[in-house]
Amino acid sequence: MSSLEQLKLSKIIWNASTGSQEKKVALPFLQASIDKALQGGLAQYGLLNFHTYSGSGELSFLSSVIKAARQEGQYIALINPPGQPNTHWFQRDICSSDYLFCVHSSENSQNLWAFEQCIMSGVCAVVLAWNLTATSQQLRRCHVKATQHGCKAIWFSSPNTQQSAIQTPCSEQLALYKKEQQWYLDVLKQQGGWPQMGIQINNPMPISNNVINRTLHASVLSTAINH
Amino acid sequence: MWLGLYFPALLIPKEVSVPLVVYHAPQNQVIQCNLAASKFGIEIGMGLASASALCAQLEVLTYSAEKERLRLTHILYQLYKLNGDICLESSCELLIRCDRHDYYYGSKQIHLRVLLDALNKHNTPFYYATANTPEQACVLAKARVNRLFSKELVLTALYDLNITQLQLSLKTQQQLQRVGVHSVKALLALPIEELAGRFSQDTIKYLYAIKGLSNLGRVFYQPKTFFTECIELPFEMENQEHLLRWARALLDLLQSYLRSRNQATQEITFTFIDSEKCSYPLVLQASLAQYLSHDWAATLALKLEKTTFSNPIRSIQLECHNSLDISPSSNDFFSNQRTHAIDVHKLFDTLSTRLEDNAFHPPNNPFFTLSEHWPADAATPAFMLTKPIRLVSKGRIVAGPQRLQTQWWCTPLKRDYFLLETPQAERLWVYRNTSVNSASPTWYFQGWFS
Repeated sequence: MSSLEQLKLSKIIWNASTGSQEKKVALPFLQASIDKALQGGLAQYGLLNFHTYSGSGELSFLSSVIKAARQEGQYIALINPPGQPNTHWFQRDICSSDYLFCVHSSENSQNLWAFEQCIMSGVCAVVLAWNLTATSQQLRRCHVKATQHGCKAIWFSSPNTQQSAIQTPCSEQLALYKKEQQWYLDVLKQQGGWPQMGIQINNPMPISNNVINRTLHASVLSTAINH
Repeated sequence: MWLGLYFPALLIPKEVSVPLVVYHAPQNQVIQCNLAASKFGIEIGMGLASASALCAQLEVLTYSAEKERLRLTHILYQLYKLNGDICLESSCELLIRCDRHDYYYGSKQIHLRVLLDALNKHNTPFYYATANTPEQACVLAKARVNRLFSKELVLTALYDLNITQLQLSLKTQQQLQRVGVHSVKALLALPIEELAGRFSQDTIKYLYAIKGLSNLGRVFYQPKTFFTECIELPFEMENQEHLLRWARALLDLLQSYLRSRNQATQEITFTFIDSEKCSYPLVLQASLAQYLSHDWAATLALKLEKTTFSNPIRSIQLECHNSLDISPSSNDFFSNQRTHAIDVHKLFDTLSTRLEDNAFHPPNNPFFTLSEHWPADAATPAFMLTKPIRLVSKGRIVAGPQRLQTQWWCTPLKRDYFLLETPQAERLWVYRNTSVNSASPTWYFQGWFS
C-alpha cells in the first residue's frame, strides 16, 4: 500500500471531490472573497484551526460565523482565553453573557479535557480554545467528536507554532495576518476544497479617533449639563 | 402473627474463606465463627485459648455490638420495603408483624415467602420462626427451629425447649431449676398466678407473653429523615476503581432510599476512613437534584481522580441530609428543553468537579469597575486583564486618547486609554496613568481587541 493510501485511510488527507459533498451547511463570513474561497463558508461542525495572534481582531472577524453556528439557548465555551472576557463586548458582538462560560485551568491537560467535554456535551454550539498544545491524535479526536456531536470547535494557535496542514486534522485551517497595512487570510486547508493564499480581507480597527472625539464630546457635554 | 429472625453470624464477612471467629473479650468467649473454623472443631462459647489451640491459622475479629447493629440495620432496611411493621429486637434479632400485610400479598404463605426470599438474597445466615406473640417468635427463632408454625402448633414447639432458651435472668432460671422445672412445658404447666408471688413483675409479664396470653409493646422501626450508611471494606484498598465499586454499592442504597420517597438530592458527602482512622470527606454537589447512582458515581470518579489518600482505606460512609421532593408536574417526557437543561447542568457539574477551584466560571466582568465612569458606546476590548500590567511591547498608537476620569467623590483616577498596534498587528488596549500628582506617566497594558 502506498503512503498516500495510508494517509487517506487514516483520514489525514482526503479527495477534494468527496469532501465537498460532506459540507452541507456552511457558516458564512459575510465577506465575498472569503466565502468564495471557502465555498460558502466554514463547515457547520468540526474543528477550525486558526493561526493568529491574540488581539488581531480574530473574534470580531469570526463573529458572523459564531452567530450563525449558535442557536437560541446554546452556549459558547471559552477555554483558556487570553484574559477575562468583557461581557459588554460579547453582549454587543456575539451573545448574551448568560450563555458564555470560561475554563481557565493552569494545566494544559485540564484545559484540553475541558475542551473535549464541552464539545461532547451537546450544550455548546461553539467551543473556542486559545494557546493549548495537543498532539495530532488529540486534535483529530476533538475534530471527530465535534463532527459527531454537532459542535464548531475553534482552536486558536500562534503563527509561531504553526503546524503543517497534514499534521493538523481539522475541517479548516486558516491563517490571519497583516502585511503592509493590508490584512490577508490564507486558507491553508479546507475539507472539500483547495488551499488558497493571500485573500485580501477587511479587518477594520475597533476604534477610530473620530468616534473617540465624538464620545468624549458627548460625555463632557453631559457632565457639563449635569453640573 | 409474628416472624422472628435471628442472625447468628452478622460480623463474619461473606468473602472470607479462612477460619475466622468473632471474639467477645469481656465474656472471654467465641461468639461467632464461620464454616472453615467449625471444621477445625471450634464452637460457640469456647475460650480464645481453646479455639487457637484447635486452629493455628485462626483469624480473630473483636466483637462490636455497634457494627453488628449496623449490619442488621442494612438487612432491616431491605425488609422495610416489604413490610413496614418491623422492629429491631436486639443487635442480632428482628421481629416482623405479618398479619396486617398478608392482605396485600394475597396470602400469609406468599407474604412470608417474599420476606424469606429477600433475606436469602442477602446471603447472611439466619434462622426464623413464626409465632403468635413477638416473645414466642424470638425464642423459637433463637432456638433455630426454622419453621412457619400455625397458631395451634406454636405452644407445642415451645414445649420442646429448655428454660435456658427463654429470655429469663440467670437467677430466675436457677430458681426454677432448683424446684425441678427444666423444660418450658413444665414451666407453662404451672399456674402463672402462683408464680406471681415468687418472681418479679417483668418475669410474670414475660411468661404471659410466652404463653400467648398477652403481648408486650413493641416500637416499630421508623426510618431516619436523612440517609447515612457505612461499609466496612473486606480488606484495605487503595485502588480507586475498587473503591468506586464499593462506593457504588452505597450509592445504590441511596438511590433506593430516594426513589422510594420520590426524592432527589443536590449534595451528598462521602467519608473515606483510612487504616489510621483519618477521615477524608468528599462533598459531591450537583446543580440539578439527582438520585440515580450512576450519575453520582460519575461525579465521584472525577473527584477521586483528584484525591490522594495517605493510607489504604478501611471503610466508606455516605451521608445525604438534604433531599428534595421530585415534582411530577416538572417531568415533561416530550420536552427537549428539559433534556438540554439537564445536559447543561451535567456539563457544569462535570467541569466544576474535575477542574481546580475557580478554573470554571461564568464570565466575571472585569470592565464592571470601570464602566460607571465610561461612555456607554465607547469601544472596549474583548478580553481584559483583571489587574493591568506594565507595558513592555513596542508599537504605534492607532487611536486615543480616550480619557477615564473619576468624579470628585470617588477615589482619584485619571487615565488616558489608547489603542496600540504591535509589529505583529496585535491590537492592545493600553493606558497612560496621568495621576494628578504624577509628573511622568507610566504605560500599562489592560486588554486585547480580539
